[in-house]
This record gives sequence, C-alpha cells and structure tokens, in this order.
Amino acid sequence: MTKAGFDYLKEVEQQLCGKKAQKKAYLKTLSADVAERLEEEPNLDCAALALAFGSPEELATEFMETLDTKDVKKAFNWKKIVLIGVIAIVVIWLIGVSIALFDGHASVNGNYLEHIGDEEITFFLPEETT
Amino acid sequence: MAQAQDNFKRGTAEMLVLYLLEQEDMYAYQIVNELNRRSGGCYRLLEGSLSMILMRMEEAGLITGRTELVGKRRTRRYYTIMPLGREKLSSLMHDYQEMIFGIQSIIDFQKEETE
Repeated sequence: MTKAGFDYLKEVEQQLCGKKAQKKAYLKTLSADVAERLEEEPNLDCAALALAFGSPEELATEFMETLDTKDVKKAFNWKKIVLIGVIAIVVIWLIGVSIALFDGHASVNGNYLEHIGDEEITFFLPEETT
Repeated sequence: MAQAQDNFKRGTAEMLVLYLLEQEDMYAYQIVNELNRRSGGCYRLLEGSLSMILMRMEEAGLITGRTELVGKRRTRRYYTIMPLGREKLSSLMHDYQEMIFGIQSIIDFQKEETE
C-alpha cells in the first residue's frame, strides 16, 4: 500500500459514522480493494483514488444510507443520551457553585453569623430608615 | 438527473453484480470495468460503493470471496455467487422486469391517450 492509499483510507475513516464493527468491516474490504488497485496502478494519488473509489464524503453518505435504520436510530440515541448527561452534569455543577457563592454565610433573622476562632459574633445590620 | 441516476444505480447494482458473478467469478475492479464496458460507459459504479455492496452480499451469504495470488506478489479477491445469491438474483430480475413493464405501460398509456 502506498502513502496515498493510507491517506485516502484515513480520510474515509474520519468521515464514516455508525457502529464501530460495521465501520471496521467496511474499511477492511475497502482497504483490500484499494491495495489491489494500487498493485495494478501504483502511481495513483489521493485525488485519483477519490475519483475511482468515491470521495470520502460520498462514501460516508452511502455508508449511512445502507445502515439498518435500527442501527442509525441507536447511534443517534446514544449521542442524545451522552449530550443530555453532559448538560445535566454541567447544570448540577453550576447550581452547586451558585449555592456555595451566594449562601456561604449562615444567618439569623437576616443577620450574618461569622465564626472567628471559637467565638460566634453576630453582626447586626443597621435598620433601614423609612 | 445525476441524483436520479444515482438512485437507479443503487437499486440495480446488487442485481447486476450478481448477474455478472453468475456468469463467472470476478474481482472488484473487473466488475466495475465490466459494468462500464457492457453499458457503453453509461453505468459507472464507484469502486468504494462496490466494496460496500460486496461486503453486504458476503455478510448475507449471497456471495463468497477468496484471495488468489496473481504473479509473484499481487493478490486478488475473487467473488463467487452462492445458491442463495442465485435465488436472490432470480427474485431481483423478476421484480426488475415487472417494474420495467409497469413503467413502460404507464408511458404507453399516456401516449395512447394523447394520440
């Protein structure tokens, strides 16, 4: 296999989406066919390979179209689940940080309690004049 | 037009590949060339698409592949049609003929109406 062959296959691999096992099986078949072709015409570059075998984008689209709808749905569901999980973790973390920032002091009747050493000092805020 | 041709190719590629393999064992590049040659350059199947079709047909047990040494170093993967593939080909050919007949009937019907 030439460098052009490896580069082409790498580009195709980057574009493919779906089940790992199916991608692996297709790439195995494709790389055998590309290698066979390069044995006959070793001077083919990446562009010539894309012309003969199809551009990586074309192949990725076709690969998606030939997948079972069940697999496609599953792949999308997994993406959805991961996305929801990440959003949930970020939201929970933000809520935790907000609580820590805004409710860092204990209070009694609206007055802050500060602990200095073993003593407990209560600061009384001046009453608002109406 | 190109999109319509792509869809038509996708729908018929499996049948045509099985049809060629019924006549003789072939390797991928040979199949692409033979389709191109027999159609007078009209039916050009991408080799990457053919790899996909061959992989699916092999998984389904319609064809089987074997690697042969050509010359000293070169290898080729030849594909052979299996009994299940022959059954599938017969079914696809029947569906194709029926569809072609139906489409032609629609066109002829419209011609008769306008005459």
